Amino acid sequence: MNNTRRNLLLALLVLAAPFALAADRERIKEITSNMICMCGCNQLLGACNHLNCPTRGPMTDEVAKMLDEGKTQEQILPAFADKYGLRVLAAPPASGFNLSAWIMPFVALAIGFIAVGYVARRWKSRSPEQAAEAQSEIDTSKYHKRLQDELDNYTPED
Amino acid sequence: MAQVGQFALAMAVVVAAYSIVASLLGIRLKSDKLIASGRNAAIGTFACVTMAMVSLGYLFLVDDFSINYIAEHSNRDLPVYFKISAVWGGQEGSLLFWGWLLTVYSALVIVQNWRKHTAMMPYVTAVLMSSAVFFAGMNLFVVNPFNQIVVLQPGGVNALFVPPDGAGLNPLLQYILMVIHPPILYLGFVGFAVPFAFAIAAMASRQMGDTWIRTTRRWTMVAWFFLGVGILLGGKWAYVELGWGGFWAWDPVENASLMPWLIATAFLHSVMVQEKKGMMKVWNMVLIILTYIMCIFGTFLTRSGLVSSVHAFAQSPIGGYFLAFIVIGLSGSLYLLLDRLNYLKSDNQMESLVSRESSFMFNNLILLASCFAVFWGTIFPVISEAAPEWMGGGVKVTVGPPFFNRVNVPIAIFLMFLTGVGPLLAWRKASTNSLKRNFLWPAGIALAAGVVLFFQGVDHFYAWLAVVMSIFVSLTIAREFYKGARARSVGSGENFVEAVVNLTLRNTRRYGGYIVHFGFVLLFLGWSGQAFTTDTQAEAGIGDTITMRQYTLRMDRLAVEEVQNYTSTKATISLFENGEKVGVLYPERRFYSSSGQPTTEVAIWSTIKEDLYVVFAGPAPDGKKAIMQVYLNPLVAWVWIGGIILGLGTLIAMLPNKKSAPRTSQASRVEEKIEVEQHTT
Repeated sequence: MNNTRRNLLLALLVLAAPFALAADRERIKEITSNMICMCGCNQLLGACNHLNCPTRGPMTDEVAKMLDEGKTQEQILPAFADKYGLRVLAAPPASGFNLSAWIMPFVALAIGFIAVGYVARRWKSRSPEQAAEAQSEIDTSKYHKRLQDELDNYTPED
Repeated sequence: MAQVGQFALAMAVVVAAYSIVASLLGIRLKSDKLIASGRNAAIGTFACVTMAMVSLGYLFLVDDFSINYIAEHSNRDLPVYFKISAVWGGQEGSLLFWGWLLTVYSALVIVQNWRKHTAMMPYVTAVLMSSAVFFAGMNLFVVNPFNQIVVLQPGGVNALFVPPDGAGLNPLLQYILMVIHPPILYLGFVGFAVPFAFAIAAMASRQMGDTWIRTTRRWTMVAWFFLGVGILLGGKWAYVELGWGGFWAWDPVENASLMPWLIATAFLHSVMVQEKKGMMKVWNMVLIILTYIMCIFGTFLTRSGLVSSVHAFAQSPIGGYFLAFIVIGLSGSLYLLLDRLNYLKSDNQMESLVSRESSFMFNNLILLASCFAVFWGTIFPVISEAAPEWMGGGVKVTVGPPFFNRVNVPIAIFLMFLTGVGPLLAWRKASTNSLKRNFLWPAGIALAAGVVLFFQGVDHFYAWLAVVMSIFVSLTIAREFYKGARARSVGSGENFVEAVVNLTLRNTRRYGGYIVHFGFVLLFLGWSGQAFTTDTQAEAGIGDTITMRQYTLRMDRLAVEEVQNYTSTKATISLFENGEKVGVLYPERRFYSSSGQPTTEVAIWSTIKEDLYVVFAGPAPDGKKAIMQVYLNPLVAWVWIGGIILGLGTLIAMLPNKKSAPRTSQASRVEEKIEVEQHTT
């Protein structure tokens, strides 16, 4: 009975092996698309296409080895950062000073929303007289010119 | 000929400087003669820089390797068309080319508008020539393309040296798209000098109505069109030439071209509010100033070596000069703007937050937020390194695609939403009824399609949202065309297609705009396909096969060939789809002997569903097989199709409106009624 169970488990593992390999490939791809190749190309590790690149292979193997050891992406990326410096990460970590990289675009957006809201409220609360007053300061020369042209071309009907 | 070029450059600096002085002095002294002299000098500057360009082109064609720039960017075997494109293939020549385009634009604008806007044109001339002096000056004093090679001989004597052959053009630039990509991109960058010059002139001459906007509307669209096409061609070049499987890597050079395009897009929308409602006048000034400054900033960013870029072929120590130009230009423009604020008050009040005006404000906000995110991400490595250590700085970090995608994708999706909603909101105030009428069906169908897509396995949230938004926006656009065309065909008896064409030609700006939006939708859809890219790498000898989903690739031949300028190793691969042969692919690897650099020529099997992208990565260690990298990139074709539609829509929007039919015709009356219903509800 025990033998049958063991054989069944073995068969299942053998059948599942290609899927496990595919899953590993996907995980390696996901992790290497968050890292920069250290050959100096400034490209993502997974995208570096330099012929005989000295670093892509070893770095990718290192990622695979860490995955085999059961490490997660959250453990692998800091380990690489310790080894190669923060430049190896394709995006700065969301901590310390680097947190500002992530939050500033959204802070700017929020400030923009507040500014748009403020301007819109001010425009909404303007009276028609205020608007007309502003209008009187605008350049009306083209309307005068058009009026003059039309008057010049005007032929009274009999 | 080099002396002719040198002399022409020196003359360009002197004549352009004279043009500025004569124009400004002419205004001050109210001297028409001086003003006219300033104008003539601007046209003379165009002649001088043209002479310099022709001289440089000639020196390339005759292989004059005594000139340092030519020895570094050309060689005898280089085909003639690449010798011509090599004129702008390096730092010195590309700056000369930029300056030349600026003088071409300046001459055209001056000739076109001199009699129409007499008060503004001397200022316009002075502003345009200020940029011309800067670029010609840079070429003359800092990065001179006509400098000869000088070597130090024994005894401390300098002597001229002529190498037997040149180092050749960067192989990555030896591609047909690279011949046209830089000129088109530069036409975009430089083109924004025209609306910028008019904006400054409007403020300086205190003519701050919408004359400057109406005058430069088409110029702005021309620049926007060229910049957009230039960006797309750059993406296409990266896709087919760099061989990493994608078309956009958020590289600083790419970002540098995207930033002014985003601000210019905001400007193109917000000028409509000023034209229709007399609002957002200060904002429009700010936007066009920022657009032009960002064009210069992009050049500074990529040429100064401030940030690392994969496009590092045109760097030199010119950063400081560009930074000074940016600071002077920006502070001068902003000072003028602050001084003229009183003349830039809004003419109207806002009635509702649910209106076309407010949708344009949000559209501007989103576009600028996106631009800021790109700007921030691009310069953050510099900021992080410069920040003090106690703040956690002092470290150089990388800001790459994961950052830009995570920050920009939600912003872009919101922009898509506004693209669908904005154009259908009425000016002043949109009623609840019109909202229901315009949006209920498109939103309902898009959501239903979203449910179907989810159950079909599209579970990547942003990709799913992008597709749903694309459907929603497409339906709102289709509905607009349908409604307008139906109204025309009911009244005039035109068939539906005729009605669509005539409708578009009668209001080119509005319907051209819808076509642009549709192009943007397709482009975005193509972009969202990147979330599902897969790839594999394999070694293949003759007869070996590589399988990727429904495709099988069989290596039939590997051959080495000597070509004029390089050695090629080319693979011949039969492509099978579900077992049936559908084509033959020829991925190639080239080695350019003059520069000693290898490049890859990708083979792409493109369908509207996906691209099979095959890269000859190199020979396997055993020397008998080839390493093939195969990517399956879904929906990429839609990026290019979307780009073409976007370009066509822009061209349509630039056309003058076809004259209206006589007011008495029934078609005209019905159409007007629909128009009134849609936009003043």
